Amino acid sequence: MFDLAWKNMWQHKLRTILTLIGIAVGLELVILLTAILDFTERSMDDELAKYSGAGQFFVTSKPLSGSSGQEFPPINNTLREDDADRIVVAVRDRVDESRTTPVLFRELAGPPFPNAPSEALAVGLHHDKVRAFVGDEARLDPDGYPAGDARLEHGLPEFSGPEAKEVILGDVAAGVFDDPNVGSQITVAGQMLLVVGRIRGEDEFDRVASNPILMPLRTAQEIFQQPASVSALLVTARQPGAVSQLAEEIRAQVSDVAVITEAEIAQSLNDALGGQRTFFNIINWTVYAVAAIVVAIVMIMAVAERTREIGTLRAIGASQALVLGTIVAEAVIIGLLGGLISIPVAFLLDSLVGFGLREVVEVASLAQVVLLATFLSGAAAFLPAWRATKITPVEALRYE
Amino acid sequence: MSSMVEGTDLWKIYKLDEVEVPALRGVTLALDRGDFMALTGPSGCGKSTLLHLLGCLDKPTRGNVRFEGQDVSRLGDRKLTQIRAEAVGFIFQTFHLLPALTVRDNVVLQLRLAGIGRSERSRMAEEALGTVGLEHRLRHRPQQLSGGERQRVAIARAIAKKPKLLLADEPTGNLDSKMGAEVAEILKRLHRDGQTILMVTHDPGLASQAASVVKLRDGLIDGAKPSP
Repeated sequence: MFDLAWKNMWQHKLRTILTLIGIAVGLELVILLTAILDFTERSMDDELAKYSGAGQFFVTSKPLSGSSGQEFPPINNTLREDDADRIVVAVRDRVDESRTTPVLFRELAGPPFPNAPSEALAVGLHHDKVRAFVGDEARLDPDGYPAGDARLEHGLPEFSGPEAKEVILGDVAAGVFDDPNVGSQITVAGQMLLVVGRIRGEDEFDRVASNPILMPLRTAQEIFQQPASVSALLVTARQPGAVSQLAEEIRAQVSDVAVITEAEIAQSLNDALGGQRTFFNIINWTVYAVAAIVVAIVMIMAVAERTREIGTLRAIGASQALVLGTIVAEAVIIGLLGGLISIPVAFLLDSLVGFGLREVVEVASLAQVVLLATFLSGAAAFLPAWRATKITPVEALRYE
Repeated sequence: MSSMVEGTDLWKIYKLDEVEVPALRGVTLALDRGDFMALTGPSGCGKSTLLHLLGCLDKPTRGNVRFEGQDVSRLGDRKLTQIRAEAVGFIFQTFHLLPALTVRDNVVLQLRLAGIGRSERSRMAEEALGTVGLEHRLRHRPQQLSGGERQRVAIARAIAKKPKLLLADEPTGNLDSKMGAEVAEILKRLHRDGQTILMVTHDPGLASQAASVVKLRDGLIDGAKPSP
């Protein structure tokens, strides 16, 4: 039945090609949206795992009453710096001070799509605690150094002092500043800053190490005109398993602060992603529904157009099952080809917009799109195919 | 000779809205093995309806059809389809070839439906197309052929599986006289080779080629009276 279906499609080349293009264009959108969702979920998971594994959490001001929840990262929160210092003193024996630092966030370039991380996030922190923020997986970005540079053999770069006018750029953030090499200068909030290091994450999903513009806390406070205050205190517990207990203790000792542990981060990320997931899924399922309707319309037309042919088939001995199978097979082929064609179309479109689909798309997601398109296409053809089996040969042969 | 197909007291009544229109009003007819019978009569007299009933394409409203001794009037769609696929060959006035398939594939498809093995199909299809003089048109599509050639393909499709009964509904109705004569010649040759043929035609010349002629009028064999 597939050979007959294929020949029928070939017989109506223009209609087949137009249908395939329509389906492929719709599914290409599904692929892009699914890739964005995959990317967001994986990068959020990575971020969550990073805080969880390191025993880290943030202490910051409480969200305003009526606010829907704790923002993460707490870019727009404010914590007095002396409160941050007091907290550290209060729990000094249970925190890893070498990885505990007040941080000041400023978003310099927003996310490319909803719930993605900011493309460039200024992060002021203690000048000797870069690792506290970017984690152990962060490494030097060779793109920012001359080939064979001896510094590539060393560990992460450091700031020369607490008030140094210096920055370390994550690879994505560097892109916002036209990829300056180490030794160049960039301007942030009107202040010239020397690039002393370029870093990147373990992979493209590491949003923590890829997007920051790290600078000493004093420098950040000066250029963002926020003396004596920070966004949050990043705390690293000596024992990662004791985070909950430590968080409770801080909540009990210091009023008017919010402690954002892994659980709150997960909640915050999931809340943020939930809306996006719903929205994208609505679009995706709408595209699938439209594709199925297109296939159903095409197959209804095909059946109407081929009434005499179907009658002939029945007259010369084709069973109802063969008629049904041939029409469903035609739709299945259309769905399968449409799904397969949508993949290069998506990559082609991606090469124009530069999202980086190739790096983030998952093979399982592509397979899911193709399989769903194939299945839905076949299912959409079932009704017209079933109606075709009800065509009586005698009536069909009289049909003009 | 025993009957190949036999219709007894066949009635066929169509319902058009609420009006009942009898196409056949009690026809009894038997076609023997090896016979070549022509059904003639004016338009609307029930010729094609009778052909369809005897060819298992349709079921009578009343009466019964016996095909090789088996009552087929009450068989389900699956059984009737199987009989049509294996034992009955059809030739239609407007050819009814499948435009998506080549000449050879049109014939091969019929052989496939008849349950002929894959290895035999091509050989049998080419043999049948050779019988009607179209061995040079195997890869052409129906729309690339003349009317006469299309009808010869339809004949090849019908005879390739060596059907027990060959039904032809106005086989020359869409052809010019030269092409029609060619088709008539092929049918006569098939009959000489032992093929059982039932043919509907308006054409007295073609009807005269048949071994017997049955004339229908108003849903009855001419001169007969409707059954009660």
